[in-house]
Amino acid sequence: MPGDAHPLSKKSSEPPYGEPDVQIAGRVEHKDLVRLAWARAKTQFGSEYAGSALGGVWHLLQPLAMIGIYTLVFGVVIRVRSDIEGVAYGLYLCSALVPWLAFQESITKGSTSFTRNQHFLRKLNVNELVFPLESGLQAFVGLMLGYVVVSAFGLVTGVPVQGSWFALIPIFLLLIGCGSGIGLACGSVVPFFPDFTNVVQIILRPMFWLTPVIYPLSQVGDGPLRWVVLAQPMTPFVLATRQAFFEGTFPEIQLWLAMGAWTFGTIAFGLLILRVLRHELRDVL
Amino acid sequence: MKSTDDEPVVEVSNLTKSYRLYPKPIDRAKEWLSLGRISYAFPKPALQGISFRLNTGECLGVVGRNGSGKSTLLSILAGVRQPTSGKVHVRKRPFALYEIASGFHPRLTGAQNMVSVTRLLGLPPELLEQQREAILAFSELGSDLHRPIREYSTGMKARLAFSLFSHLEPDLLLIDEALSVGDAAFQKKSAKRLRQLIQENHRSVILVSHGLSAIRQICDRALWIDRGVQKAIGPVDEVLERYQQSN
Repeated sequence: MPGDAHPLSKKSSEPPYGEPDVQIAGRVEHKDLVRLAWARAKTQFGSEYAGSALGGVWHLLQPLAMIGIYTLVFGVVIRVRSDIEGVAYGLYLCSALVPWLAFQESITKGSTSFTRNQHFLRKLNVNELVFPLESGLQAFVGLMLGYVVVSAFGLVTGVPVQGSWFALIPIFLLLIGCGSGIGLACGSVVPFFPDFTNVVQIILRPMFWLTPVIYPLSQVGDGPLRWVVLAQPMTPFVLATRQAFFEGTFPEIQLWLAMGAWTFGTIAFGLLILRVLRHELRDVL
Repeated sequence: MKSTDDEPVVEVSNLTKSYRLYPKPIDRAKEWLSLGRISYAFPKPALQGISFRLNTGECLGVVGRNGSGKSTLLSILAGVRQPTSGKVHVRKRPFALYEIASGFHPRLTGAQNMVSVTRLLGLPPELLEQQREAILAFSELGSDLHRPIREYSTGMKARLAFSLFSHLEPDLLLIDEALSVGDAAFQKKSAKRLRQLIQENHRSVILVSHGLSAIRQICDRALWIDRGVQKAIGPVDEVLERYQQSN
C-alpha cells in the first residue's frame, strides 16, 4: 500500500548522499552517432552472411519466400483482390508487405539492440543510441533492397516508372524512424524485463492483421473496425506507399502529418524511456 | 573536459556505488506500476568512500579479493556505470581494456574487428592505419589477422586486444586482468609495453590484477579495496604488504 512503511521502502533503500558529480572525457557525441551507426550497419550487413554460399541474396530470398506464401494463400486460395484497377494481387501485397517486414525488423532488432550489444555497453563509454540506430539503418537498407525487387516486379507486370516513386524514400525513412522509436522504447525495457521481447512479438501479430497489408482498406467497411485499422501506426505508411507506387501521386498532406506524428512521437517516447532508465541500464545488462 | 598538467587525470572523492536488487523479478514491475511510490529494491553496496587521484604518467595498481568492487570501480571510471554518489572526474579519455576481446565479432577477421572496435571508440580510421604495422608486429599474429576471430584461441584474442588498445595512443588505460591472459612471453612483453607507455609517453594507467608481481613491476602506487571499502592507498610495497598480511 502506498502509505505503508514498507520494510524495503525507497527511503530506506537509497543511500543518504547527494547527486554524484561525474565528468568523464571522450564520450562519442551525437554528431558522430549516425556515421558510427552507419559504419557498424555496413559491417554487420556484411558479417551477417559471412561464410554463407549465397551471402546477401538471403536478404532478398527470405521476404520473397514469405510473399510467395501469402500470395498463394490470400491471392489464389482465399481470392482476396486489390482495390487498384489493373494491379495484380501479388504485387499489391508485396508493395505493403516488404515495408511491414522492415518495420517489424526495426522493432524486433531495436528491442534487443542493448542486450545483443551488452558486451560493449558493459565495457565502453559509447552512446547507447548507436545500437538502435544501427538496427534502424540495417532495416532501411533491407527495405530499399526489397523495394528494388518490388519495383522490378511492378515494371514486369505493367506498372510504369513514376516521379511519385521518389516520395517512397522519405516515406521509408519515416517508417523506419517510427519502428526504431518503438524499438528504442522496448529495447530500454528489455534489459530489465527479458520477457518483454515475447510481449513485443505478441503485440506485433494483431498489429499486422489490423494493418491493411494483405487486404485493401476499402474492404474494412465503415464500422468501428475501420477506426481501429486507421489507428494502427503502420496504416498511413501503407496507404502513402501504395498511393505513391501505384497511383502516381504524392501522398496527401493528411498522410504526411500522420506519418510524421507517429515517427516523431515514437522517437520522443523512446528517448524519454531511455532517459528515465539510463542510469540503471548498464547495471542490469 | 580538458586537463592541464597540474590537474590530476583522475580525481575520485568519496565515491559510492550501490546496486539496486529486487527479491523477485516481478517486484521491479510492481515498483514501476506504482510509478516509483513504492520501492521493493534493497541496496547492495559495491563501493563506499573511495578517494584517490591519478596524475599524468602514473600507474595505480588496484588489489582486492574477488567481489571487492575493483571491476565496478573501473567501469565507473570508464563512464560505463553511474556512481550512486561522490565525485568522479576523468579528464582524459579512458580506454577500458577489460574483456574487450569478448566484444570481437566471431565471424569477422581480426583485421575487420580492429576497424570495427576503433570505430566504436569514435577514433579516426587514420589512427588505426598509422599504427597498423606496429599493432601487427606487436601481436605476432601474422597472417592469422585475416582469419575469423572464432578460430582464435583466448590468448590470441587477448593479444590482439592488448596490441590494438596499447597502440591507439591512449591517455588513460584501464586494465582489468588483461595481462594475466596469454603466454608468459606475451605477458612479459605487455608489461614492458605498459612501462614504456607510462615512463616514456607519460600515459596514465589503472591496473586491476591478482598478479601482485605485475603491479610491483609496473605501478607507482597501489589501492587496496576490501568488500567495497578502501583499506589502503600508497606506495606499492607498503600497500601490498598489508594486503598480503590480511590474507
